[in-house]
Amino acid sequence: MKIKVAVMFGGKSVEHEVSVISGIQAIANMDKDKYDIIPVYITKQNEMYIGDAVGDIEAYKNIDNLLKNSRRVIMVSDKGQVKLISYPMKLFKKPEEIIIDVAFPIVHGTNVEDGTLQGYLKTLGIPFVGCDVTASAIGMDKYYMKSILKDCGIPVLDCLTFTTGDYKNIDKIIEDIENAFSYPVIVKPVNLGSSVGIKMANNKDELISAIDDAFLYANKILVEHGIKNLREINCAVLGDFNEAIASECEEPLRNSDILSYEDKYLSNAKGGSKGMASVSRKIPAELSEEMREKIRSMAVKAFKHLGCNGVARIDFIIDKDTGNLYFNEINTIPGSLAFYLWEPVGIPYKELLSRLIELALKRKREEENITFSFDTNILNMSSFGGLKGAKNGK
Amino acid sequence: MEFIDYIYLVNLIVVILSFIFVLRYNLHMFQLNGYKNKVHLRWLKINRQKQAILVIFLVSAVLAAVARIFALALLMLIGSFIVLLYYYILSKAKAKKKLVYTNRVKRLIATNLILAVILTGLIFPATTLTDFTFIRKAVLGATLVNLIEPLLVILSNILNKPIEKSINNYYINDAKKILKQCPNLLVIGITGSYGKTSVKHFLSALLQAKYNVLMTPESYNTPMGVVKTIRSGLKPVYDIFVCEMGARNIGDIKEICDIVSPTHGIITSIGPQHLESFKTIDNIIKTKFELADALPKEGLIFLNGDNEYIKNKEGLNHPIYYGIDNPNVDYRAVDITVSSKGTEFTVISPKKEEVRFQTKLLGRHNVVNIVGAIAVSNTLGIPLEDLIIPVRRLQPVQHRLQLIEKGSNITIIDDAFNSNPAGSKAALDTLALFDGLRILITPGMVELGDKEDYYNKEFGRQAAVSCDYVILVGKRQTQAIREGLISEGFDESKLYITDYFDDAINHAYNIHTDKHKYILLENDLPDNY
Repeated sequence: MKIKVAVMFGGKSVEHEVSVISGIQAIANMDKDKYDIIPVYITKQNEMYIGDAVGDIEAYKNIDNLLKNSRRVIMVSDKGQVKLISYPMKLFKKPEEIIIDVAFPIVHGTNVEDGTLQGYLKTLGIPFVGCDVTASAIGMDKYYMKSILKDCGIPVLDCLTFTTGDYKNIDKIIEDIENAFSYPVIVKPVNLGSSVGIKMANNKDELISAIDDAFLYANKILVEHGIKNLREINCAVLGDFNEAIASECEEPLRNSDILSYEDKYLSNAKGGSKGMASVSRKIPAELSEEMREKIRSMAVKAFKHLGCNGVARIDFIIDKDTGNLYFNEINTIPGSLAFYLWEPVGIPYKELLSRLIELALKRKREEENITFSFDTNILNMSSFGGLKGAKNGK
Repeated sequence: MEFIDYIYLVNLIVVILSFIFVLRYNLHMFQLNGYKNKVHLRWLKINRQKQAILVIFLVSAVLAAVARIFALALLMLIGSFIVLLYYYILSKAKAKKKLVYTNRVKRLIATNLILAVILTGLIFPATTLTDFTFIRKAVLGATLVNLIEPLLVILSNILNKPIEKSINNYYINDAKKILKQCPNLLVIGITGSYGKTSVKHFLSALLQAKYNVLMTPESYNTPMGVVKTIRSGLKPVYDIFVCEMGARNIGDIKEICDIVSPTHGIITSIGPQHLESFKTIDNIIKTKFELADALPKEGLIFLNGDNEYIKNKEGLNHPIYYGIDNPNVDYRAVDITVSSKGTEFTVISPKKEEVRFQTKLLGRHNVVNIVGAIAVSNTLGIPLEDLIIPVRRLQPVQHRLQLIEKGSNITIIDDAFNSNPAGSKAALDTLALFDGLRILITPGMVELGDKEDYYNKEFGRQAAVSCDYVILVGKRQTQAIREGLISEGFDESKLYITDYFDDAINHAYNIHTDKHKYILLENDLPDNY
C-alpha cells in the first residue's frame, strides 16, 4: 500500500497559473515507489477537479476542455478518513471515492497560501504539507511578519501601513510618508506575493500613482524606504520549528528596480512552463563565506520564529551602500518549492518532496499526542457514577 | 374463545415480553463472558440463584398442563408477571459495560428466536388431549421455552458457530491481505499477564518521536479486536503497528501471531492472572512465549528481566532484557527516586550510555514498563536523548494509577482496571508514599483460580500496613480481604463494608479529617461478578 498524496494546485489567486506549473512539476518529481499521487486542480472558482488531464500541463491550454474531461470532487472527512468524493452525486449511483492520506498544497498567493486552504485541510483533519494556518497567514502579511521578526532581533526595514480608511485623505498619507522617509520609497500591498502592485517612487507624483496602484490590489498597504543600490539574496529553509536546515543562496538577476511579476514568471520562460526555476539567477550567489553563513543562519532563525513547517524561501536585501542585510519577505510555499536551491546542497528534488511529506506526518502525530493528553484528564464525579454503576442484582 | 382463554392470551403476551428480557439479560452476560460456552455455563452454575426465579415457569408449566381451570390460569399469569418484573428491573440496572448489539449478537438473537418458535411448536403435536385449546398449548410451550432460555443462548451459539467461523475467517483473511500490502510495516506484539496495556501506550508515545505508529486501541487484544484495528485503522502512512495480545487460554497468543506475523515482541510480565482458565503457571509461561516462537529469525524479543518466570527462559533467538532489580539486564533503570510528584530514574543502555529520565507517573512498576518501552525505541534507532521529552510527557493510562484531583483536599488514585496481585501491591506501595489520610476502596481480585482467597487475604494484610481506612465493596467477594486485614490487627472501626460502589465513594467523601484525603480505587469488577 502506497501513501496516497493529493497534490493540490491552482486556486482563486493571481498566481493561479504559476501554481499549476509548480504543482505539475512537483508531481513529475515525486517518488512513485512510495506515493500514489492524485493531482487535484483547484479552479479560479475554488472547485476541485481530478482526472488524467489534470496532471497534464498541455491540457491547461484549454481550461474548458480540461474541466469537461475531468471529474469534479469534494473533500470530506468520514469515519476518520478523508476522501475525495465525486460531486454532484448522481441518483442510484455510488459516488466515486478516493481515500487520501496526505494533502500537498502547492498553491501561491492570497486566498490559498495565506492559511485559507491550510485551515480547510486542518478542519478536515488530514495531514498536509507546509506551514500551518498561523505561519501561513503571518507569512503572507508583510506587516505582521516584520513585527514578529523585529521582536526576535532580525533586521527588517521600518515601515508605515495605511488602510482604505486612510486612503480617503491621500495628502495626509503623503505627508506621513515624507516625514518618515526620504525618497525613494517602496509601496506594497500588505498581503500579496509575486511582486504584484509593488512600485518604487522617486518623487511625490510617482508616490501618488504607486499608492493608487497598490490599493487596487489590497485594502492595506505598506510603505518603506527604498534601497536603490541593492542586491537580492534568497535562501530556502527546510524543517519545522524545532529543527531546520538552510539551502544554498541565490541571487536573482533583475531587469528593473524590483523583481517584477514579468521577471519572475514571464521573462526567459520558453512556453512559460518553468515557473520560478526559469528566472535568470546566480547559484550560488557570490557572497563572502561570512555573509553566506549569516544569511543562512538568519533564514533558519526567522523560519523557526515564524513557526514555519516544510520548505520556505526567504528573500533578503543587501544595501550595497551600507553593507546592511535586511529580511525582505518569506514565501511559505515557494515557486517550484525552491528545489533549485536544494540540489546544490545535495538534496535532490525527489528527496525534498519526500521529506516534506514526512514533515507533514510528523506534525500530525505531534498534534495527536497533545490532544491525547487532554482526553485522559476529564473525569469527574458524575462520570464515575456512570462508569462504575451500582452493583445491583446481587 | 372463552374467558379463560383471554387470560391465557394475556399470559402469553406477558411470557413473550419476559422472554425478551430474559434473552437480553443472558445475552449480555454471555457477551461479558466472551461468548465462551464453557465459561458461560460455569457462570450460570455459580450464579444460579440470580435466575432461580425462572422456577416459577416450571410451576407455571405444570399448572398449565394439569388442568384448564380459571384459578390456575390466574396464578400462572401472576407468576409470569413476577418474572417479567424481575428481569425488567435487572435490565434497568446501571451496567458498566452495556450489551453491545454487534452483528454477532444480532445473529444470535435471530437463531434464538427461530429456536424458540420451533420448540414452542413442538408442544402442539405432543399434547393431543381434548381440553387443550390452541392458546393453552401456546402458553404451555412458550413458558417451557422461557424456562430453558439461558441454555438456548448457548445452543444458539453452538448452532451459529459455523457461520461465525466463516465470517471471522473472511475478516481475518482480509486483515492479512491488508498487512501483506504493507511489506515495510514493523509489527510489535505485546503480551504479558499485566502491564501490557501500559507498555503499549508508552511504547507508542516513545516511538512517535521518529515513526508513525498505529496501536490497538483501548483493550482490543483479542484476535477479532486486532483484526478490527487493522481493517479500520491501518493506513499506508504507518511505519509501525503496536499490537496488544491478550490470552486466557493456551494458543491464544499464537492465534493472534498467525494473523499479524509480528516482527518483534515484548513480554511485560508473567504472573498468576486468569489462573481459572490456564490452570497452571506453566501453561501461562508457555502461552506468553508463543509470541517469541512466532518471531522471524532476526526478530527481537524484549523481556522483563525482573520477572522470575521470564528471566530463566532459555533457547531464545535474540532476547533483550530490561528491568530494575536484575543487574544483568541490557537496559537497566537505576537511581530511582519516587515521590508523590512523580518518578526519576537513570537508564543505562547496552552501549553504556546513561541518561536521566523524569516522569509524572507513579510507582516502580511504571519505571519497569517505561524502561521496556525505552529499550524497544532505542533498539529501533531512537537515541536515548530524544526520548527524554516523550517520557516526560507520558500520561497515566486511564484507570491505571491515574491521579485525579477532586477539589483542594481530595485526590483519587484511580487504579480501577487493575486486578492482579502484583499490580495491587504496587498500588498500595504508591498509596503509602502520600502524606495524608489514605483510604482504600476495593471489591477484591477475581479469576485467580484456587489461590483467589490466598491472594485476597495477602492483599488485606498489605492494606493493613499502608491504609488508614478501608472500604470493601461486596460482602461475599471481600471476605478474604477482611480476614487479612484483621489478622494484621487492623482497627475494625476503620473498616466499612457495603454492596454498592456509590455508597463506598460517598462514605469515603464523608469521613471527617483535617488531612488531605487520598482515595485509592483498586480494581473494578464487571457486571458478571
